[in-house]
Amino acid sequence: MTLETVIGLEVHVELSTASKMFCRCPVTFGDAPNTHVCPVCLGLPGALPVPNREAVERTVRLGLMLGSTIGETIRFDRKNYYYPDLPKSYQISQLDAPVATGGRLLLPDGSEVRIVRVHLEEDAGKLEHEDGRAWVDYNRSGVPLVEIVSAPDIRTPAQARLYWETLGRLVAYAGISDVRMEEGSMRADANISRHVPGTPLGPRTEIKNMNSFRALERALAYEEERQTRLILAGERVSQETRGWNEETGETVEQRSKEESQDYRYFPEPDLGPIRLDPGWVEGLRASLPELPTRRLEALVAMGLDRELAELITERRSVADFHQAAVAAGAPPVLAAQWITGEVQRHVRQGLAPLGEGAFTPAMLAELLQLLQSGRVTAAVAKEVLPLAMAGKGTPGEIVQARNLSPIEDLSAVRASCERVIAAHPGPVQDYRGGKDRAIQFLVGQVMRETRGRARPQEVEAILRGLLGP
Amino acid sequence: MEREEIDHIARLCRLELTDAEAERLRGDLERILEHGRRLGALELEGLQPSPLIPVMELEGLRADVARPGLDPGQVAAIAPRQRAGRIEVPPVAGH
Repeated sequence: MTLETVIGLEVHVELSTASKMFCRCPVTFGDAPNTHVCPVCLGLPGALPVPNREAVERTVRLGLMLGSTIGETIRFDRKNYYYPDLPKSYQISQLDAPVATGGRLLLPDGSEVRIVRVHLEEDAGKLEHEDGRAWVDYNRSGVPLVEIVSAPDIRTPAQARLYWETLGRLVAYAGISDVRMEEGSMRADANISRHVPGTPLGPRTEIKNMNSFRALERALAYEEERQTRLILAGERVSQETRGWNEETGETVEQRSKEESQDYRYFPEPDLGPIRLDPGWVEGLRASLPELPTRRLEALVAMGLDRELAELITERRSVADFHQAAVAAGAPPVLAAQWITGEVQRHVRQGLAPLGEGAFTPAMLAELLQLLQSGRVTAAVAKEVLPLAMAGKGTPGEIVQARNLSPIEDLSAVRASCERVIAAHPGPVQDYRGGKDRAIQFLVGQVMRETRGRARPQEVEAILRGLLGP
Repeated sequence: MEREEIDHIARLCRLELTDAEAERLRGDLERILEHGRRLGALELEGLQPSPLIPVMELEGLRADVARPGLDPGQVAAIAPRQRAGRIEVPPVAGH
């Protein structure tokens, strides 16, 4: 019996706006509990919500990037359920007039997943249980939350992961969220069922609240296998909600959830419908950034291998920097290698991230041109980079001010080679005894003595000449 | 209204009801449903639903500017109990 897996994802993304969805409390993470709360996000009687325009605009932008149809009049609805992290006992969400409907997401493997809807709602607080008691931090209560619902077009756990990763990248590109997974700013629920192709879909299980790509893939793989086992044994898969336990690597049945009708949705009486002016929507469409998947393909066409292109397009700031460096004359592949290698190494060690410090794309282009034309050696280029990143000048200025041009006077290089040969009899003996690799040690010593300004190929040729056949 | 429905609603509200309470609520709910049925019987053919609040334009929404919320003393004053800033709430049944 061949079974097909059918997966749909609901991804929740917290928007990184300055203020919350319906009040002016700041959106923060990691601050002392209940320090960013007010009558609105605490659900105190009489408090009235006022929607955040920026949150609506960002959601529209995401919808446009997914090719969705933007609603002309959108509406908020109350979704009622009792849970103490939700102080009003209802969540302001959207039922049948969401910000956006339809659309699709193109994945890097060429597959496509249709989007059902994109809607805007508010996040709940953070509930913790301890010694049989419950405690809430409402700082997160009311943070704008976008939900992106996919069609059940996904067929494997790996594709589900790829979909989520691709969507996360798009969200970051659209500048609507900073997508900090470790802070829970992007979470997913997954629906999964198995059936024989050509027959009706099987009963589905919903796995709630996963906060990492890895957890999603593992939970779906586990669930795929569990359902297969039941089906092959002739048992029924029951339609239920399951939770993923990271430690045991299993999904476990959770308390039965409310059905849609139990939420008693009704139009939010405190908020009128919001008209989205079609002219304004078209203006936003015209200002959208290029899709990351398209940029990735463009980079591959420039000669980057796929892995390198993925690293570059992972973050928009990096992709933009690379694009600008290439426009300023940097060779695309070399620029990508330097950005993902040397530049990132210095950023990790504390220099300003790309686009934030003094280092401009034109400077990277200049440095790589100096390198390619032989006006600096690779060793010197690596030395110049952190100086330029630290704001010590342009690469050309640094090379000139510190006298870092290659040594053109070969007799000086030869003199350095002679000194190194005299100082290292051991490796010299090894080389003469047939250990060819020993020459690299000697080249390294000459490079050190010349502060990287000798050309390694020239050094090696001179050394071999001096050491004889 | 069936007792089963009363029990289902009580579960959704995380309420435990005695038989007497369930009976009293059955009466209340019946009256609410009856009111709904009377509204449902109104002749509304050809009428457009009117929003409770006029349609808002985007420009009418709030600009994304944050300002401080309540100070911790105010929060403490309305929270029944706090521990390290977190507010105690009734534990969730079935957790």
